Amino acid sequence: MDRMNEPGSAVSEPVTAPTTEPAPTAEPPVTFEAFFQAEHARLLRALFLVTGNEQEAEELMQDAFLAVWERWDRVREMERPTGYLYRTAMNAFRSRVRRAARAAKRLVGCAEEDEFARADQRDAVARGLGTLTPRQRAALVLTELLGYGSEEAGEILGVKAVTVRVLASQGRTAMKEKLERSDG
Amino acid sequence: MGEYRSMLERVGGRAKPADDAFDRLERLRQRRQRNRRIATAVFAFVIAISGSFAAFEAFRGSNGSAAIRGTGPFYALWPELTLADAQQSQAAVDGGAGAWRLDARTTTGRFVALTLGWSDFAVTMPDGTNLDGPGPVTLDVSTLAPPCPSPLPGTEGPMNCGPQWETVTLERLVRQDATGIWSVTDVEGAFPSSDNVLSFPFAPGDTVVSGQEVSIPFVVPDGLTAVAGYTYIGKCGSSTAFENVKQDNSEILFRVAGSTFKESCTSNGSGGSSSSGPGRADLNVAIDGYVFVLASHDLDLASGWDPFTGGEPLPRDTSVVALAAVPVHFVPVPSPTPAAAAAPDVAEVACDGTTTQVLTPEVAAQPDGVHIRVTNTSSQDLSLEFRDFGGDNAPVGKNEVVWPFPPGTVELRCMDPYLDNGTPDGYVTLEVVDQNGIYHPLALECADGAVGGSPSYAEGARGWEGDPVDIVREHGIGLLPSDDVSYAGYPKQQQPQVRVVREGAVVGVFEFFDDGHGGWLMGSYQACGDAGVGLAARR
Repeated sequence: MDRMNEPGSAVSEPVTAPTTEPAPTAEPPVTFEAFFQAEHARLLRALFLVTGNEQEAEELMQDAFLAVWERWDRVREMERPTGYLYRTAMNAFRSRVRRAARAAKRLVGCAEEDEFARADQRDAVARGLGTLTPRQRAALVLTELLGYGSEEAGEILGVKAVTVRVLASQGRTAMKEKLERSDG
Repeated sequence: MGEYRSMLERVGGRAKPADDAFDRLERLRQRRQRNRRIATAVFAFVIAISGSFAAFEAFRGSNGSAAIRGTGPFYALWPELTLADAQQSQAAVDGGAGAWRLDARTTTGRFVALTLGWSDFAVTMPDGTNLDGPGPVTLDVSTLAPPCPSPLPGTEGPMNCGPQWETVTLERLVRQDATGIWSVTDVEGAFPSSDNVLSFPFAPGDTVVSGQEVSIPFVVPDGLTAVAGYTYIGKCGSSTAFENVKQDNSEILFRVAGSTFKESCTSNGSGGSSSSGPGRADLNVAIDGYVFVLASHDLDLASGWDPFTGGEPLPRDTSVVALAAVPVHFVPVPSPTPAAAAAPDVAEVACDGTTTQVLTPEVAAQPDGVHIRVTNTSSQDLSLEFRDFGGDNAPVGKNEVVWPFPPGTVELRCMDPYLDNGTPDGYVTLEVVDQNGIYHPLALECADGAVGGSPSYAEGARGWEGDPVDIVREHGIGLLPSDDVSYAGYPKQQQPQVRVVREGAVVGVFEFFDDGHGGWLMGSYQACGDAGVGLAARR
């Protein structure tokens, strides 16, 4: 079993990605537009990694922000508005997966286009992502890229923390195998 | 951590946000608001409740509640809850009665009129919906005039009566062509707008363990009451239990299947069923049923009315504002195996930020693995590392983790993940004892080399249904009649494993993972090269 190299700190906001992302501020954003400008690029990237489809990621991002916008007065007062945003986005994603799965029951082979699954042979990372299930990708993105602890990632995904750990571990293992195979 | 993060950042960076992203969002918001108004105005059609009741009664039991007969894996909510009843209705439709059951749109309309009490509403469906096949099809229903009554006595101010939305999923479950009747298999509600969605995290037919707490990201609007419940469907009747709904910031929480089930059938097959009251013991048998949560202005309704098998029809002048429901398979909590006498069920570990202490040198293995409770008395979150196995979180305070360690010695330590200098210092040992022989070893014992692999699956792939051991027995390749197929590791571990033992030696191990829909997909396998053991591909 591989070591589950999970971040030990239970952070309340996603860890800021280096260089390009704005740092989370202690004060809540004053306007919705400021909140949007601060968060939308990171959310879009996270959703792209989870869905493997840029258009779907943008639609989910827009849905999530529209939901937050409609109740901005309430959300801005929350301790963790960004956590609420990600939860809303993942809930919308989960709902899509659920509906797609239902449709797939009778339409085998008609899955939506996944850019990672057809990535160039030389792009081992993207191809590795293509082998993961949506839930594994979501767990990996939340814990590895965004730095959420498994408890909080579990809250966002609506699953238990242990499930997040298992999903993330599966994701890491599969990625590692793919990378090793491509190296070999 | 850094390795995966940088890889993900690199790939994720391909998604470039548009320069005018906020303008696009603003335009989308305006477009959606306009579309809602147009949809409501153009596609509205009114259901005459009095007329539809006459037709509907033909498909209900004489007491006004849905008739309940028959058993089997049939997951639907309305009009029938069982396959036997649906087959009867199909026969009636084949004979010329109730042709509305062949029309998904009309079936949806009757459902919301009779079950939710809505009168003026629009039913829409996505472009390209195939109504000639088996489904599932998903239709959206929105109210024209919100069913918002006068303010309740003693209340002040306007209640939240914006237009409501309900999403209804239907499937042809008896016959899968255009002559098959539609059944409602899933319902989601939205209030006051489509993004505050009342939706269960289950799909029809999912397994729900007794006592499971359900979390739904939903804010109950002011002026409404939410009630949740679950219903067991027995051979001779049903029983419904209601649960308190707790609003916790942006989600509602409640427990499902937290009561026992008792059935008393008479010789003619009639009779009743009951569940014990709140605070009762967990479910004692596996049984089909459904879970539901509804929001209503009508407190009497919201305090004890089952939308599908309630003995009373929907009260006049009463409406449900939002309803979510899904048929599921309830199962009891797995019975624990008695723990070893000498060792506690949960190991206690203390971490102060610099040292790690095992307060219970031994711990008894449990059916789902080894339980370790870590008390972190430092001022920061730490990580918990198991040498040669993996790692976990050790946040400040108490935290319990479960891992499938084999019996024997486990080396562990707490550490600050950001100060890891790579030296293997500070490990302490914990002894896992398995006096009841719960753990089944899974190390291969091959005379020659081993083979293995990890298959890839398309998104949404479905696994085999049933117990993983039975799956291997049924779909295993190269098995001999004398092979012993049983679980490997712990019987209730998160990711079940199954082993094949031949002449006393483990020659194959299969690991499964949940496909998210109650089925099991094989995640990986290992087998001795000369054993020729494998698993058939899932078709």
